[in-house]
Amino acid sequence: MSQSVRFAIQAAVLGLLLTGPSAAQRIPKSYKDLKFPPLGEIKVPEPVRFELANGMVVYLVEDHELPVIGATAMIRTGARWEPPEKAGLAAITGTVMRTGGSTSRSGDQLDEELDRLAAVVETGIGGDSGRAMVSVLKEDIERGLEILADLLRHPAFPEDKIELAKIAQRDAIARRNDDPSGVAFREFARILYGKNSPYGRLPEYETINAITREDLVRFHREFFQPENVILGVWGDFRSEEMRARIERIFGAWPRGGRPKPAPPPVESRTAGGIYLIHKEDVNQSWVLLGGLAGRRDDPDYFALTVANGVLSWRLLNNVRTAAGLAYATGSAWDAGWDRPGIFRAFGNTKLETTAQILEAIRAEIAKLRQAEPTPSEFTRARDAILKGFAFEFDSTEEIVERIVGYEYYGYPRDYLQRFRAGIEKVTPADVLRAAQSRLDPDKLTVLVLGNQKGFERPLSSFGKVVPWDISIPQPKQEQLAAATPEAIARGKRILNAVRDALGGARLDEMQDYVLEASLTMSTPQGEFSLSSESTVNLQGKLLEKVRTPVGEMVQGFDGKTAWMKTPQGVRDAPAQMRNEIEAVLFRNTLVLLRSLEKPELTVQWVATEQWQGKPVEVVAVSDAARKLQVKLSVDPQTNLPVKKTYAGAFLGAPGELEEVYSDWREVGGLKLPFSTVLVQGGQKRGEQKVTQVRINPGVPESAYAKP
Amino acid sequence: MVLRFLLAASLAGFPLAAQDSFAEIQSRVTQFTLANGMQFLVLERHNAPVASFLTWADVGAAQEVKGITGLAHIFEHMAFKGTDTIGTRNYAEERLALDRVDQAFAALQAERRKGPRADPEKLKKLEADFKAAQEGAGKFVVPNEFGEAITREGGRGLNASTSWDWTTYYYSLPSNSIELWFYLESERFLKPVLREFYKERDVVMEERRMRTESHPIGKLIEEFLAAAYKAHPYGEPVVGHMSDLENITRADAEAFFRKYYSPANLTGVVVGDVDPARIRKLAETYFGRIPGGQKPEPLRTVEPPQEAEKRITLQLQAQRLVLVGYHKGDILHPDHAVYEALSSLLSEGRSSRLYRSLVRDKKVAVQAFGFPGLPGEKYPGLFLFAAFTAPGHTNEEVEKALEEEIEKLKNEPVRPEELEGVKRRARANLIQQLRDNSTMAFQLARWQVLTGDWRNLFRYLDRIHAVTPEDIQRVARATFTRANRTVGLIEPVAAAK
Repeated sequence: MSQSVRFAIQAAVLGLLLTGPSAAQRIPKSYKDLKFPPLGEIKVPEPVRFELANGMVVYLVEDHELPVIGATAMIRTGARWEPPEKAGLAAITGTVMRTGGSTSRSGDQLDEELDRLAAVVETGIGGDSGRAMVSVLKEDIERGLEILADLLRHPAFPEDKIELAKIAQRDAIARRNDDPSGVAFREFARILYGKNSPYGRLPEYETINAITREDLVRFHREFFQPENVILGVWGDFRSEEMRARIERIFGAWPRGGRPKPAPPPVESRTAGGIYLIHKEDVNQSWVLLGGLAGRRDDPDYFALTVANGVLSWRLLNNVRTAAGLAYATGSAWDAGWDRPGIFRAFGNTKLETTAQILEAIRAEIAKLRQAEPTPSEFTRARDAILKGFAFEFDSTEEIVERIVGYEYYGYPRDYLQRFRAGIEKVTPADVLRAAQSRLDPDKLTVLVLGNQKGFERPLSSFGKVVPWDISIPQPKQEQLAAATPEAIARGKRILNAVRDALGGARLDEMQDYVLEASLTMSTPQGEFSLSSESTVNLQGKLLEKVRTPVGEMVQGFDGKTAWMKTPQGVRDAPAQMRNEIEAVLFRNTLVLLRSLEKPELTVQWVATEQWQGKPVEVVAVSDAARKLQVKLSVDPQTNLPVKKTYAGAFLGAPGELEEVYSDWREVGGLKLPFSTVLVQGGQKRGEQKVTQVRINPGVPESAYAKP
Repeated sequence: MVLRFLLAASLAGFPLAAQDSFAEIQSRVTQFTLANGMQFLVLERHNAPVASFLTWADVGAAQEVKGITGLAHIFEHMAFKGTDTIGTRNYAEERLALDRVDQAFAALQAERRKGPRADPEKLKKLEADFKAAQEGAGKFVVPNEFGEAITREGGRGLNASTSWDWTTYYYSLPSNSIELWFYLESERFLKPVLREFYKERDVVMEERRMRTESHPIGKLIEEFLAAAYKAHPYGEPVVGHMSDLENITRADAEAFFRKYYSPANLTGVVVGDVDPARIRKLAETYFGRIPGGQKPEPLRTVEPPQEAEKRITLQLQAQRLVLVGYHKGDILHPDHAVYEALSSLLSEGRSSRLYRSLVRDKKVAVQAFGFPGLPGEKYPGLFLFAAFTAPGHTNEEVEKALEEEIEKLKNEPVRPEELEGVKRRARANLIQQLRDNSTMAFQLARWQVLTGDWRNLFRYLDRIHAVTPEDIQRVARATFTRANRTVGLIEPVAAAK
């Protein structure tokens, strides 16, 4: 259609629209010919700001539409200020502040009261800030704010709720690799910030276990002072009344006087590199490219925001719509408020197009640096922000949260208006310049999560690939004091006495044994029984059979290969299972007692402890190279081990496990415990009762090999 | 003292207060139906110059049959591809090119279906033909013009969603440009062109990989529903089976559109800073163009009563999870509010029964809740218990603890103050929903289409209010029986390095 015809039609449509009501029935030929009236007034509420004498900052915004009131607070604290060896402390403190209640009202009582009122009071501590919120029907605001103040000032931190929060943390650790997209985005940030940095580290079993109530008390004391709190309240109230109420409720909170914490710097030097997270159980890859982005006060922020709008739209058009490569694709220039944020472009695709999507995303980023966006692309990206500005004011709650955030991060209260003005000034040339100076494809870090066996070509075709390990660290062994010669001698003396008590020379002659037993697992609804057969060659070979209702499970180790057999077939044991089999052989009492002189083992006496009312000698045996350790507690009267202690996991819950021995009987010149009780955290988890033992049955070596 | 008084007053004053505030909001709702059968609801809310729009198509995955699973959802994706004037450079030629793509796909599929007897050389050629045909048609496409037109005007939240019960299309605009929605949305359902069909199907396959095949919980839910339903389509996945996605054609999608997208099957909702009289005029002008049609025949299949407990266990590289579902009635069932009350009692807040028992006291789970509407509510669905098993505990322990809570519901009447909390929270939750235009658009459409009257969104509070401890006990006894139960579990296998 020629330009003049189009113009004529537009003029005609416009003319008709102006002539009278019947004209409104006409529909323009193109939506592009629709004419919109000017936008109605955006009501920008003017918040009331005041500071209490104790330094707490308060914002109030009235909104009388509905009979509800909400409050939101930011507190100057965060996981970035917690000690690295106690990672998780901030989160646990934030949780238990609420669940544990205050010194005058228990958490359980609060739960009851709030749920009955249909009210919500919550606290939490994230990476960069602490948060608290109240949401109530308006008649309950007095009570809601009182509870909030009480929790902020006088949290009780009872042990039982700390333990509950720790369980939740341990569960989150155990589950953190279950969802592939969550893993990819999390680990991408860790690669960029540094995995042990304040912005990259994760809570681990080790760090959670190290946290004590005293740590929570100290962390709370450090950060929860009124001058660290910015409170925003919105809803159906009159500001003067609300101000008086807040002064009454929070005014008595004395200043803490401790300095405001400064954000730890980002020290990462990661730029470039191809990282691979190999995950076997997925049929789709996640591919991320990016790097550290600037902050919101970066002069290029506005141009980069528009540049990202262009890039994101191109990824949608080219990677998803035209190529059908991805469901999720896009990009984000996620600038930080008081530290560098992250820029990322991403896509998810089937394994066999992993390299293809990586190339496609990389090409789109490169293209952004080659030419200015077209006028149409540019205006779309810019107008999406500018014309949608009214949406920034359609929720009073969001307005208040925004203002509180600006105050927290030291931005001017009219930052949003400045943001709009900044976007308005951006030109296509700015977009090109910003992309050229800030998006160097050679410095982009690449992360691919997927099953590399399915990629259409190896990632190494893009350059050197760094494998990125996401396996979850199990808690470390207890650190023993350095072994003194006296402790070593005493330890060996005790274990040699045990060796003699169990059979002495008979033990040295022993080759192998078969032990049949019934296993009982203790659960609240009763006990499960299974029967098992363990064949052990004292040279370090093992064959374990367990009969379960779903069939026989076998694990084997011939000294080289660890394998498993299930009703589904035979396969190599996963790494974790192999490690477990090696640990079982290491701590097998009979194997251990014959290995005391091996150079790789350290035997040392640790302590004399009380066990069931009598003293026992505790001896540790460790193999530093293999990171294995076990402790035997020996009754000095009988020289029999009463229990064995080691790090392990029961049903996925890591922790110290104890095997408690009793019912010692003589078999073929050896003394063996016919009952072994497995204990974790003071709770009985299971019991093995021996039904039959055969010493030196002469099981052929081939029996241990993978069938 | 004062607090006590406040609490007592607010509880006693509850029904009156509820009616007061909600009467005013209801008076701001306008309803009309066009001559072609399309219904409209308008809620005025003038706090900011914006408006949210939603089209509810009364069709979902439940309208699919074997062989075309995933089609309702694929059509939802295709409804963003434009029309004969939007998204094309030259529709007259594009139309022919699209036909050539269909022919090439049909030829390719015919050869592929020969399985091992397919001729590899021929397959290679047909694949190349198919690719070339797609590229040929692609030349006429203006990619994502439909979405671009909306974002260019500052539109937010552009998306759509498909469930078993419904397909919804939604976004928000500054209120001066509302005519854009009328224009684009009416065109979309007047003369959609399903261009880029096979590429979009590839996108949907990635969605399936993301949500189901590479996602432990998605995988569990798919298997769980397949176990719980033997006849009704609630047992089939919304995203569809991979083999169906591979074989669905553009013609299938067009037939589905003709059958289920007549205006009598559509409801439009506008919430925000708008004038209802103008909305009506615009609706008549734009949507009035769509020719009328019949409402499709209702679904025939009814899930028969479950006769035996069903149980599935997935062994995955993931942590333990327990789902326990019991068949229950749909949204029109007289006990609908009782199920909602049960859910609130079991799951809302830290004083809820499941949190207290499973998480706080027994510590066998880290999260536990009971949810009344999986997979949907248009047809009889499931009351679903879900719990994330705590480390160091077994799924059996969690099942046992759930069982104990269920037995308690059957054997002991709930305390009146527990039920008071349920009722008060229902009111508070409703008020919170009123604060958001897009949420209200969804809720008005939901109650209008599924129950025949949007006012049920508010009457629902009265129904919750009428629930008695005896109701809870009666419904728990009738529903939570062993034969009516389906259990789905994730048991971890150790991750290979």
